[in-house]
Amino acid sequence: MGSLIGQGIVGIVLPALLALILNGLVLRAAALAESRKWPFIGLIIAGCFAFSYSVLFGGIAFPPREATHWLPFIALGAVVFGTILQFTSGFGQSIVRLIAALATAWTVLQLQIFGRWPLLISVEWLVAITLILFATSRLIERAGGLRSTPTEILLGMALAAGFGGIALFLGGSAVLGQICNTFGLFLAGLTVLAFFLPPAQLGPVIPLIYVMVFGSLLLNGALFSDLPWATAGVLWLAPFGVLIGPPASSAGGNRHLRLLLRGLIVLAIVGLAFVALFLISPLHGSEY
Amino acid sequence: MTVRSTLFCALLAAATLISAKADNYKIDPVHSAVLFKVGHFGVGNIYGRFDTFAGDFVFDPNEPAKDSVKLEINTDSVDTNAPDRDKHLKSPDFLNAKQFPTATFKSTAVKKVDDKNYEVTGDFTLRGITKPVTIAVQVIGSGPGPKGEPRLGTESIVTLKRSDFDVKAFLPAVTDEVQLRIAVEAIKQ
Repeated sequence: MGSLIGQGIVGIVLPALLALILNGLVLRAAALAESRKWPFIGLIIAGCFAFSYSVLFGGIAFPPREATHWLPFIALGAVVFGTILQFTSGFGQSIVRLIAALATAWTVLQLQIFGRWPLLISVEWLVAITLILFATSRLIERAGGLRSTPTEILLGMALAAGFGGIALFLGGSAVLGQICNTFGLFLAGLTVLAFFLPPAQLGPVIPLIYVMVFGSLLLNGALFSDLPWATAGVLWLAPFGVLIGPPASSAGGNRHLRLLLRGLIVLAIVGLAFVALFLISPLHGSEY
Repeated sequence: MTVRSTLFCALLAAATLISAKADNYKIDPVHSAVLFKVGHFGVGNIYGRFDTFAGDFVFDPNEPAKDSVKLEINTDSVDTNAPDRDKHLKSPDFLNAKQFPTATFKSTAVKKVDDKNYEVTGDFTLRGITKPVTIAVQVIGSGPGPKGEPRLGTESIVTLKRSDFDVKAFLPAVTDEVQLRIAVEAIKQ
């Protein structure tokens, strides 16, 4: 039992605290323009994620042989793509986003469906997942930027990822659940920082990391473990709960109350995801 | 020596030669088992089994060089009498059964220790990783089965390190060493 607790402290608590402290330092750094802060924050989150992965999975496998082996590389790749997105615009930005979405979908799907399923169905899956990742990242960044504050968007993503970890755990994969919980903790720490040091814009880096990492985790859970697709789908929609209601710019009143209400909307959607989980894949209740 | 006795000697020699040739056997899954044992929190051992497997072997007691063994285990059939644990064992944390539906063993060399005991060296593949292992095989017995078909029974034990096959979740609370016990009854083909 002691070794598991020690592994949890080193693999979950330590990187979460490190990410919180380093991200706080970056957000407070007056010398950095805000647009330049997000790539650093993204790099901190991806680095801590890779560290956490190596502790919880017992190392980083290179070259990756399994879909889960790609997770730390996807996180680091998301920082690169997100940073390019941060400093590009228009059609070029859409192309970069599409490449990022396609790369994520390919890394997860290639080993499981290509060669096992008919080629046409495999290609359809690849296209569908790519488009979902592409649209989600664009929607969170654009619509989120228009309708919500960065703190609200971060809260939505943190809640979805945190509870996503519990869903993955209950869906059969304890380690995927732990790593997803840890990712949720990183985002929760960033939410707290954004609450006290509110940035003007969230930018594309963090939403892209969220989409690529959380998307990969849910796909891994649904394809290789027993996470029901319905649960994964509803969890994927959960952060959009923060878009409900009047836009942040036009809304008056208490911003804390707005944040609380939008958080509760996200939680309600997460609750639906868990109802689907318990209905489709009931637990046997056997402790092991 | 008469013609009759010469013919008798020739037939006897031919029969001896035929019986000495290597025989092919196919594993009878109904009378066989693939079991495993793993240490849990330093307190006790958890036992489990794989319900679905298939294999065959070539066996010549006089010429082990001719012997060979093939075994294929369906990883999705893991059964530890706890459905939630089985779900976990099939996940990417352990066997990753959806991506790697089979574990296989193919012998590369067989060494006779004595009349009952053999050492079978071969390649064991689990989770897409192949490592050489040596299995201690004991011949339990041979003889006709319920329908008179010739059968051979063996029991084999090998201890693997699961980390060699990239199965590292919950180390060391769940031990790295996993003992595999393969009890086989095979039917001569």
